[in-house]
Order: sequence, then C-alpha cells, then structure tokens
Amino acid sequence: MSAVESLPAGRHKTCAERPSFAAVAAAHLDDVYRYLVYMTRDGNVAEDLTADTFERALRNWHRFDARRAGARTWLCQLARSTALDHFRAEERRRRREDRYARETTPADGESALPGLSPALERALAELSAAEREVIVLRIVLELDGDAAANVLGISRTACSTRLGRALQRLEQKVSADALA
Amino acid sequence: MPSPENGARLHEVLEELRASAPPAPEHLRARIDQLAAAEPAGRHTFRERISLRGALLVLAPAVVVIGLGAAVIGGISGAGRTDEIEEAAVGRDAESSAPTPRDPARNQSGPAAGSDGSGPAPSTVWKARATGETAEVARRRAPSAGLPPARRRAQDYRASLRLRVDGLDNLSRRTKDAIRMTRGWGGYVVSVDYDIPGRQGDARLELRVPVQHVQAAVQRFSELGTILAEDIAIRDVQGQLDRYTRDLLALRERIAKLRADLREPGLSERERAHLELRLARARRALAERSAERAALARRASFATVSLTLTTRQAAVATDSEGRVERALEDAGSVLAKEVAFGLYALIVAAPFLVLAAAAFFATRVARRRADERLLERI
Repeated sequence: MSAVESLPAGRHKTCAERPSFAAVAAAHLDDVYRYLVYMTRDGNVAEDLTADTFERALRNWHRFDARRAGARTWLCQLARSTALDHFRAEERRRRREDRYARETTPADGESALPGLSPALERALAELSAAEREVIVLRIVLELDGDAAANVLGISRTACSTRLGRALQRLEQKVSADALA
Repeated sequence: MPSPENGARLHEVLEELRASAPPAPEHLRARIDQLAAAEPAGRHTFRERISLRGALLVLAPAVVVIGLGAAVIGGISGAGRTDEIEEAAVGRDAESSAPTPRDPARNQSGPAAGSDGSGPAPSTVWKARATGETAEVARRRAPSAGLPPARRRAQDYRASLRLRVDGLDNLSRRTKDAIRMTRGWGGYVVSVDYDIPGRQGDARLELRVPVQHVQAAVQRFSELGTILAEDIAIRDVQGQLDRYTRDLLALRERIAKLRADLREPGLSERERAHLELRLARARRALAERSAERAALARRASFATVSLTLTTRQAAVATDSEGRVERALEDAGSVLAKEVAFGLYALIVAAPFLVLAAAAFFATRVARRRADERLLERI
C-alpha cells in the first residue's frame, strides 16, 4: 500500500497533511480504471469514464474529507456515480433508438480485459454489472468490507451477501463453460 | 457447501482476476496527469472550503453562545435596572419624608418627581413587581416607595402588597392600623378577610385610597411588616375620560341645536315630533355618558390597594441574596424565553421539516433502488 493510500485512513491527519490531487490521481488511477472496465466491459468507455471521474474529482477536491473515507473509496464513489450516469444515458439512448442490443459488449471481439482467460471473460460477461461491481471492489481492488459497502451505499452484511452470490454465480458459469 | 473441486476452481478464478487486473493505458495516464496539473496551487476560497457539516458545526455552537450571551446580558442589565429603581426609591425617600395620613395638605402638593402630569400616554400600562428575594432586598434598604401616580392624568392605579408580621397580636394590630390609616386618608375599606385557623393567620384587605395619597399609603402599609411581595399596576384612563368629555360636548351641542330647531315657527307636526324624538334620544345619551364619565372619574380618583398580612414565614427570603442572584434569575428568565421561542419555532417548523426529510429520504431510496435495478439489468 502506498503512502498516499494509507494517509486517509488516519483520523488524526489534518487538512495541512492532505496529499495533492496529482499524487492521489497517480496512486489510484489504475484502481479507478479497473473498476470501470469491470463495470462497463469496454476499454474505451472505461477510459472516458475514468477521465470524467478525475475531472469530477478535481472539481470537488475541496470537498474531499480524509476523515470520512479514504481517497480510493472516495474516487470509487465518484466513479460509480459517473458510471451510473453513463448507464442511464445509454439506457435512454437505447430506448430512444429502440435498440435492445447490449451496447456495452466489447466491440469487434476486442477484449477489455486482455489478461483473462476466455472462459472467465465469458463468465464475467454473463454476470450483471452489480455482480461484477462487487467482485472488482472486493477481489480485484481488494477493498475491505466497510470501504466496499461505503462505495455501494449498502451495509457491510449486504455487501458480503452480494459478493457471495456473485462469486457463486461466477464459479457456476466458469464450471458450466468448462463442461461445455 | 462447495465441493473441494469447486473451491479450488474458485480459488483459481480469484487468483486469475487479481493477476490479470488491467493497468490504465499510458495515454490515459498522460491525460490524467495533464488534468492533475491544472489543480489550483493556491488555497481554496472560503465558499469552496465550507461544507454543510462544517457550517452546522460552527453555526450550532454560535447560536448557543449568542443565546447564552443574550441571557447573561439581559440578566446583568435587568439586575442593574432593579438596582436603579431601588436607588431612585431610596433617593426619593431621603429627599422627602413620606406624608402621613394626618398631613393631607402635603400630599396634595403632589407626588415625587416624575409625576408632573407627563404621565404615561393613554393606554399605557405601567407595572412594577417585586417578589421573594427582590422584595426582601428592597425591604432591607427602605420601605416601599411605590410608584407615583400622575397628577394631571386619570389613572387606574392598583397596588398589591403581601407583608409578614410577627405573631397573631401584631396581625390584629396591623390590620386595625391599615384600616385606620385608610380612613385617615379619606379612603374606605371594600372588604376584610381576617383568618386565623391555628397558630398562623392571614388578613386580606381590599382598600380604596384617594389616588393622591396612594404612594404614601403604599409606603406606610409597607412599614407594617416585612414585604414578601409587591405588585403595582397603573393603567392610564385619561384617553377614555377625554373621549367621554368630547362626547358630552357634542351631545350638548346637538341638544342646543335641536332646541333651536324646535323653536322654529312653521314646523309641521310630523317634523316637530321627529325633532322631539331626536332630542329625547340625545338627552338620554347625555345622561348615560355623564354617568359613565362620572363613574370613571370616581374610579380614577381612588386607587385599589390589596393588602395581605400574614404571620407565615416567606418561602424565599434569605440574607445572602443580592445582585448576582437577581442577575442569575433574570438570565434564567431570558434563557427560558429563548428556549420557549426556540421550541415554538421548532413546533411550527417540525411538520415541514419532517415532510422535507421524508421527501429527501424517499427520493434517495427510490434513486438507489433504480440504480440497483439498472445495474442488475446491465
């Protein structure tokens, strides 16, 4: 864990000790991008949303309070809000254009998650965004239960339950794919 | 319960997820670096730095401090005013000794300074009250000086005194003294309630004293015992009296005019009857108004003094009470009013606040559920 990452957790830290936005952005860019890639399963969209998230973060940087939540949690909350705005806009657009095809699937077979095996990527694709979201927060970004629940806006118990179900479904999908 | 095989597969899946987490592309990193470079180097403006929570954290204690400060200032100034009143009362006493019932001429010369006819405006109500410790402090310094009635204005003057006397013998003697003094001033006794159920006793007197002697009466009555409570209320009735006078003048003019009209030759029977009817009405109104004015003037010429003499000990009267205690009491009173006002405002605003909070939380829950459904669909 980097120094920037560990800083916000301490309640004794004062405003004078808060890191610069550039340092926070450098430390957590990968996390925000990974979160959004898993949410959207589209590298290009994830890049745009990541940029939007950091723009929003810069605008609201004065509101960031390290005593209430860590910088990574705060950025993930902003990223979630940005992603939801994107999904709502996409849904409105789909409805308007009367197209029901999923727009968020990677275009032309290009993988947003190139390191994953095809079986795991297919299994992830079959999960809902809510399931992928809890997996990326708890497994990929390794946020603790409280931080993940904070980002999702639910209780820690509900977060654990959601994670358990998501992993169960993921494991079923991977197994089914292996048998096929 | 997952089988060992499934558990191992899940473990592999998790390891793969962690190992293959994609880093942000370099061009995205460059874009974010460029964005971060735009971070303002200086401090944020006050408006940017202040948050709702921060503002509440500052405002709430500020309101409490202001409220307490107002109570303390009100208490100190209230205690100061009380002292000034007492000083003025003592000063008046020092300047001129109180007139006695046997010295009516002196009383006729008018009350103390401040009653030179420039009394309170019509409908103004003056009140002075001393109870408990305030009365006790006043007693130790001087007998009550009362409040002087206005010389040139009609007033409804009411005084209430509660005095403690030592022993039943004194109770009887002081009661007779009060009645004798009242008659000496030309007043009369409306009622006497003398009650000695056991070892303790009370005497309640309602007295009517000519208003020009009332200040002296209050002072002399206060010397009959230890003041436990004192309440003086003065209501100006000069305006009402003037109104009656104007009405009477108008009625007399109308009567004179009607009489003149009746003396006109050539009046028809019907016109004459009509004028006579109007004249009779005007005369009746004149008589009523005259009676009302006389009653009011009579009422204003006598002050009502309610005097209670008791042998019981005062519930609150200690020697250690002083300005600090009065200031504390006044501060407490101001604070109580502030709290009452705050509670009133809260009660009035509560339904709106509850509705606003309910709307806020309902909207938030609905939005969160909509987000969850959206994420489940995608």
